[in-house]
Amino acid sequence: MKKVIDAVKRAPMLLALVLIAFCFFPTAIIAPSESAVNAIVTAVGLDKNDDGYEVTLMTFLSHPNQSYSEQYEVISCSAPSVSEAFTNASLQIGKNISLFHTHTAIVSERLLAEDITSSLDYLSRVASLPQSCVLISTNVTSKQFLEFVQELDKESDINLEDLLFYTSNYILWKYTTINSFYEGYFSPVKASLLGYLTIEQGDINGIPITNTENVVGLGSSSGGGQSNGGESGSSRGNASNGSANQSNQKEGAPQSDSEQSSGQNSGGAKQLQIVNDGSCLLIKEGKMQAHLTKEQLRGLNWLNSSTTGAVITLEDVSDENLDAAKLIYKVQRQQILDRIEYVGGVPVYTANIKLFITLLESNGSKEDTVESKEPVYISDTVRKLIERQVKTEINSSLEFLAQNNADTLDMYERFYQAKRAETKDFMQTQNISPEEFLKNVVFKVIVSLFPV
Amino acid sequence: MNAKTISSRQTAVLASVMLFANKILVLPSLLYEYAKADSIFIMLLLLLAELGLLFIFFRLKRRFPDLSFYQIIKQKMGVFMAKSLYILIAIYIFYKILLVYNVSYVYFRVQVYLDASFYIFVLVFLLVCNSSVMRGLRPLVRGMEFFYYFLITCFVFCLLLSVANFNKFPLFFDAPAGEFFLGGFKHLFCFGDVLILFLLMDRIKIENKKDEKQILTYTLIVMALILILYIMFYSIFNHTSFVHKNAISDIITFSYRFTYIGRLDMLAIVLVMFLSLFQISVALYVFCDCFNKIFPSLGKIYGVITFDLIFLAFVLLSIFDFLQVTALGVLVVPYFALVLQYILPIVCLFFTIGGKHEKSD
Repeated sequence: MKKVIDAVKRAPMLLALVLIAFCFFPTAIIAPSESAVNAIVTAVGLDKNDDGYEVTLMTFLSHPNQSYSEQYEVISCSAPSVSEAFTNASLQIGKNISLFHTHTAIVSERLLAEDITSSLDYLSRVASLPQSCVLISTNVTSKQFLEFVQELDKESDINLEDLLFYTSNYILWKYTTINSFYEGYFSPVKASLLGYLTIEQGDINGIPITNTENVVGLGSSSGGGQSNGGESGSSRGNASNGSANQSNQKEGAPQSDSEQSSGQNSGGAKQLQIVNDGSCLLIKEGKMQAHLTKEQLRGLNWLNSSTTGAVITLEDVSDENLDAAKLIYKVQRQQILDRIEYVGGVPVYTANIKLFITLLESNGSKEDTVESKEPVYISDTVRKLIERQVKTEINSSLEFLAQNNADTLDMYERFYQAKRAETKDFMQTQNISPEEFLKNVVFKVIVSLFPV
Repeated sequence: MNAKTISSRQTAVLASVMLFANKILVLPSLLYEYAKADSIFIMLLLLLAELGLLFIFFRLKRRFPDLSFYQIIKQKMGVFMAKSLYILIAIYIFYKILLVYNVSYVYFRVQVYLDASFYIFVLVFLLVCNSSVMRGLRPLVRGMEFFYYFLITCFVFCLLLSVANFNKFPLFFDAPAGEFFLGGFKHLFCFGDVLILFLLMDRIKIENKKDEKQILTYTLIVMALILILYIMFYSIFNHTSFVHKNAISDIITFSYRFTYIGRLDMLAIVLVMFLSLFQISVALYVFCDCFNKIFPSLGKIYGVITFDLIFLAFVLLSIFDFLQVTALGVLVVPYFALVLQYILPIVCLFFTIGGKHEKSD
């Protein structure tokens, strides 16, 4: 015993170690496994209903199974507040709700009719969520969306996480996380963009599922098309027809009768599909303001140097080597040299956009020369057409943003940072708010093309 | 070198580790509420003040190479003043320990030990810190020295990863001057870590300018790293900076792409774990030292036991949890900090004017 005491005296850290082990080991041995106590939620859906909020959780359940596949369960609970709905969900499944692995939060368009900050408040308080949890919106209810995604995962192994990762990296160029939403919300211009994924029925370019019975309100068993199960006024047209159409429909124009009837009559014949065409929603002061089409988003992306992989399609190109050919170019890299200045008291933003492009496809006639088939082919005509197209798209996007007083390009902050005194003077003389600043900026765009 | 003294390199490591205290987790978000992104300049200003304190320390050490801080005050201001000041310092150090403990506890509760019992956390923390203190300053600082490069590497790696999340430079010079200075003043309690060097000055061996330069270099490197952290933090979070209470973790877990790499914040967790333990252990050592100066007839063990009892009473009875500690810090502690961290060393600077080097009795 004396030896033990001497050893402890010589190394008291050893005693500390033994005591810590003594405290931890028994609890660690008798404690149930984490998965037995916690329901691991991978996606959260928020909706509004008559009871208040409906929270839908896509929950990972760790059952042993022979196929070694991950099994998810979609659980829904309603309550007057989001936290109460979570508590109810916890009671329902008899496990703690663990949000540490939650990578997606979905809000329905109906929820976006009001300021969603109160709905997101609970999620924003979970430490790990705001940074890495992608926030997206959908045309149907979040519950229907998650039920669809669950089926999709079962059938095709395409999961929501992969889909969103690709979208945020290659299409949006801006992470639409809970945090980025708040960043826009708290910024002087109070605007942010939100990714938008829809579930539709019909001849569209989406990923379908065959078993729609589990998707309540959308599936064939309920006998309704998307317009029945989805939220009012959130229907969407044929995506293959182009996003401009979708935009018009988004802005309040209902589906044409023929389209509606075809969707309803076809019932289960036409599959439900998830559509990710790169469009997004413009959120202003926490509410949905407008729908930004793929083309409009692309217009904004021309001013974003991190954009790569954009595709430029030119129709009916005729020059010395081509005759009414269709050319498709891919932007391999994009460089933007910009200048912020005040000319005659007016804010001027000059962007020199350098596009490094490769010819991907050339659909012309037999007479087209061999030279035109080269991947580095760019004639003067092509240059002019691309330049015009890029400028048109930028112009259209800027007009859209200006109309909505939504400076998602952060022009106000950029000018304020670079030319503080002039910006303050300008704001005072014009008597405008930061939200209206974008309207007053003169954009000068120079497009330079480099074949690679 | 005396068995109780620490070398200049160990002093440099000690100063560097203590500089991180309370600055890399909750402070960036607290400062943002006052001064927005100009908090970077508050940090710069107060770090420069810290540097000034370091120069005062060097001067005092050169003038009184063998005397302790207590002896200097006793010689110049009398026993009563010395004891009174040491009582204040002991209370202040106790508060700093409570602060580091609460900030780390909240951090670990959120990041790692969701279900860990509060009692286990207190027990583990007290055992490790008590044990470190009982072993003495030198083994403790040698431990810090051993992990130093590992910790700095972790920190640098966190900063490098955060570059991928860089968003845009925040708006500078946007906060009103009043708010800027108020923010700085109210958070003085997170600074002044060089005071520890003053309190341990008789155990620090600085022989020449080269030693001073070494301490200065280490300190400057850490200051630069802290400043970079603040720049990255405000550049990543911008308008939402006030929401993010765990700066060093949040800057690396911000990006969606990193969720694919699993628990990348383990780097930050390990860093905070070591830093908290070292900072609390050193502060506890200084607390015990103050205790011994106030009650010279009692040994170190009494200081440790006293600390444990008061600490357990405060923590277990929830007298001071995270919110109360930070609220107290903003309301009362800045005045303590101003007197003990800044005015006292400046007063000591006057002691160094004139006269020859003085040695211990």
